Amino acid sequence: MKINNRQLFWMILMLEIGINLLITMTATIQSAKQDSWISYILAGVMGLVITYVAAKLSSRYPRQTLIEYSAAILGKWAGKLIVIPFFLQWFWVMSLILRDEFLFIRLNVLYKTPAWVIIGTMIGVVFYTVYHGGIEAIGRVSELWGPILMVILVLTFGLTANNLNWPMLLPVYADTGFGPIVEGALAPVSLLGEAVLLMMLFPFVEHPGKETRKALLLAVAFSAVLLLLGVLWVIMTFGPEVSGRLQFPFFEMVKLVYLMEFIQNMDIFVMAVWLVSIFVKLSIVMFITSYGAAQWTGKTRSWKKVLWGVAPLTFILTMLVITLNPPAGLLLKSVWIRYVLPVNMVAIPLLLLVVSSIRKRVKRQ
Amino acid sequence: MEQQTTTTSNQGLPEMLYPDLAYNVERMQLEFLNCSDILYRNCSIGGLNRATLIYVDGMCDVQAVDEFVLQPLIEHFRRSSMVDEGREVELKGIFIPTLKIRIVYETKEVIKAVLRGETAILTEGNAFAMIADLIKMEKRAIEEPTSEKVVRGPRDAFMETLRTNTSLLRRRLRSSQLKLESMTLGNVTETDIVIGYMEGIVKESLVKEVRARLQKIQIDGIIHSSNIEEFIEDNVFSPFPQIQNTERPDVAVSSLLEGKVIIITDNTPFVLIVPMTYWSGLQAADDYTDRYIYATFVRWIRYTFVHTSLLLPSLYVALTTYHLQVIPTPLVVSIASAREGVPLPAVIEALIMEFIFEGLREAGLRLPQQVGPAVSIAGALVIGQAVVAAGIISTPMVIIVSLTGIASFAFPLYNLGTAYRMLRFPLLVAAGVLGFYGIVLFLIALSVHMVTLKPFGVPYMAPYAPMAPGNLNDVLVRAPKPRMRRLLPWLAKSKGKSERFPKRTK
Repeated sequence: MKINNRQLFWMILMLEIGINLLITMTATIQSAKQDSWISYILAGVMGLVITYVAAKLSSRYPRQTLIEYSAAILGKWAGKLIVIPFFLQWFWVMSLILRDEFLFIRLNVLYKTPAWVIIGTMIGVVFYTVYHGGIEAIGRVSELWGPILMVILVLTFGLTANNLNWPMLLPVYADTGFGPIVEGALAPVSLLGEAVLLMMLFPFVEHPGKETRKALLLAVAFSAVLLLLGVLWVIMTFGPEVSGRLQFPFFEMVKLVYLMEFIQNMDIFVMAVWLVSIFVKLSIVMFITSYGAAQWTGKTRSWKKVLWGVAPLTFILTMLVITLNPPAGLLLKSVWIRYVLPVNMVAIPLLLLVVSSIRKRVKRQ
Repeated sequence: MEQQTTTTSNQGLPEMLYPDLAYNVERMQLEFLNCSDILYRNCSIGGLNRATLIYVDGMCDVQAVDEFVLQPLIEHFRRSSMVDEGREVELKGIFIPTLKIRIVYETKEVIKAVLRGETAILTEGNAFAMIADLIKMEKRAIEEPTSEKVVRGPRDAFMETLRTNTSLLRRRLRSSQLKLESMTLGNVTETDIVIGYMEGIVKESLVKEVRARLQKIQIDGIIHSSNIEEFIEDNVFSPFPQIQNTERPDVAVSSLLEGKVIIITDNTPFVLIVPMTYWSGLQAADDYTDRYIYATFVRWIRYTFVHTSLLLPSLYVALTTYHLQVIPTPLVVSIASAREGVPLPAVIEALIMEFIFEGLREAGLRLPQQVGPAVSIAGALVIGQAVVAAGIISTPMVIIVSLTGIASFAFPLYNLGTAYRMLRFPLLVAAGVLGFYGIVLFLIALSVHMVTLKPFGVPYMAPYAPMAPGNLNDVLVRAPKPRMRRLLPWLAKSKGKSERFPKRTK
């Protein structure tokens, strides 16, 4: 089970863009209005910093996953305790993505299909992938679909270009100011920052090193650029007021494609992009959750057995989230941005990095 | 006598011939009891049977036997009336030196030689047999390939005779690097198999793997190379073929030059090539004789058709059932009016029509020539007109099904096409149940399956996923030949040594 740097690039890219293009945009536009693009630039930079820290940390232990080296850095018990937030985060991510997928599918294509069918089929495919092929299959599938999806995205940007209206972006900065822009950046950065799960993927890379770090940063930068383009397009199409009220603004924008009276409503192709990318994200997260849990209990070899537990648990959690139906703002803002972003993406990697460099220095002396 | 054979074999010693000619002939007659094609010809001088010739009727050159074996024998026996014992060299010397002759002492070997088509000569007073190689079997002439036709390029195809096939290869590859290892498989049929590879180009581990997998085969008979195929495949449960077959020597040769291994089976005009990749199944021989710009263009048309054959019916079903908004309004109107009065839902309609099409195709394959036109007229009339006129099936569905049917024959490799033709049905069901969502999920699962296939250690989707950028110029485009100078990294002898001369001519 090995992946190479190119596959890692596509994996991170697909993990970042699919869900971000659809979900976080509304939250950002609500607070940063027409200056959302500044928020996205800010988020891109912050995302790069977060990724860099995580990659730096991982390249110190290129043959170990986060679970292993956290124990090596902090000692057995502290190391095991400190990774628990990550497990919570991963389960959280999986059920959230699946819930969003379900909402999206129900809203746009299958109006009457019960939730368990949609969730169940998706989890089934993800389970098959992870069980049958592991990380290698995920890497190759990302590599296979990535370029195709890029072509579709570029086509969407091209075909919607005639709806764009430059003055929608004005006035710059005057209406919003620093506070709202930074606040708007939090949502995208909290999702761009998910690249920190590279700490679990690092040891699976064939020759981990400088090239791997470059691929990771490139992937995050590339997805930040795509997201920036996306938000620019949305604002220039609908204006800040309307797009702040749409649930899936990017998707609505694609629906406006109208060319030669024949090419219209390209939305299901964008849905394909989105489905494949959330599939990649789900498989990666499910893989690292099972593998991580197996490592956490000290039985790395039986990670496939753990998967038999993780997949049904995800299903149950998702169904729970769907039945309870908490508001989307609560899930993203109150939990994700307040806890996951500062703790999992910033604090823990930084702490590990600092402690490991102190240990290194102590050792040298 | 039978008891004797069992006792000797029990002791583990090979059964030997006796100096007694009558005994030996009787032993042979017992072995070939009720085998009416075995001929015995006695050579009696003065009432005494001095020698017996045994051969299979129809497998050896009778004229040559008369002229080069029987005549010298009779002359020899006329000259010496004494029964000569144990003088192999002298006896061998009576035949003309160009005749291939060898001496064997074991009964088993005589039997084997006779069955191979050679002529056994048993003589009185000698505990050995001379085996003369005068095999002459009926064979057809080298003909044009039937399943892989080309516009430009060589017209000869492999045929049933193993040696002719190897000669077709050797003719094109005048190099001692071309190795043709021979082995026999099948406990009963004893079929000759040849493993061919280019020493110095191929990875030794690949040859070793092929050899090991072949040797593991335990089977009574190899009737056709497909028998071998299913024994050495990596994933038997996959719908995709993982071993390429070809009847074109030029394709086999270019595969050899690419570092692949070929398996030639006697009595089969199809040569197996391992390992196969998905893309090699989509490359036609003509791609390499046409100008590269046109070849690239045609290749993309082929890719489109190939994937159309998988996707078109299910896309139609998904779009008309679940996502009408995607279809342009005028088209929706015409589809809706065509579907008016059709009692079946689109997915059932599609399933029925696809089913009928596959049935027609299957029946058309086996039709006796005399009834062919009748069935095709009935098929065309029933499917093309009557069902539509009767309002059972809608016109767009007929268009979709016939387009799909044509597209499914755009595959250069027949059994890759069958994989897609079959996968169309579950995909249709997925589209009928979950619409476009079902299609995407099915495609994802299918692509996961395809990227995890690894025939003989080479990823099935290589060089696209996992990507080898140096080799994409034969997948996404067909680059000018001087630019295609790399072996697949998985087939190269050592890492980073995939450079080769621009010599691909497939």
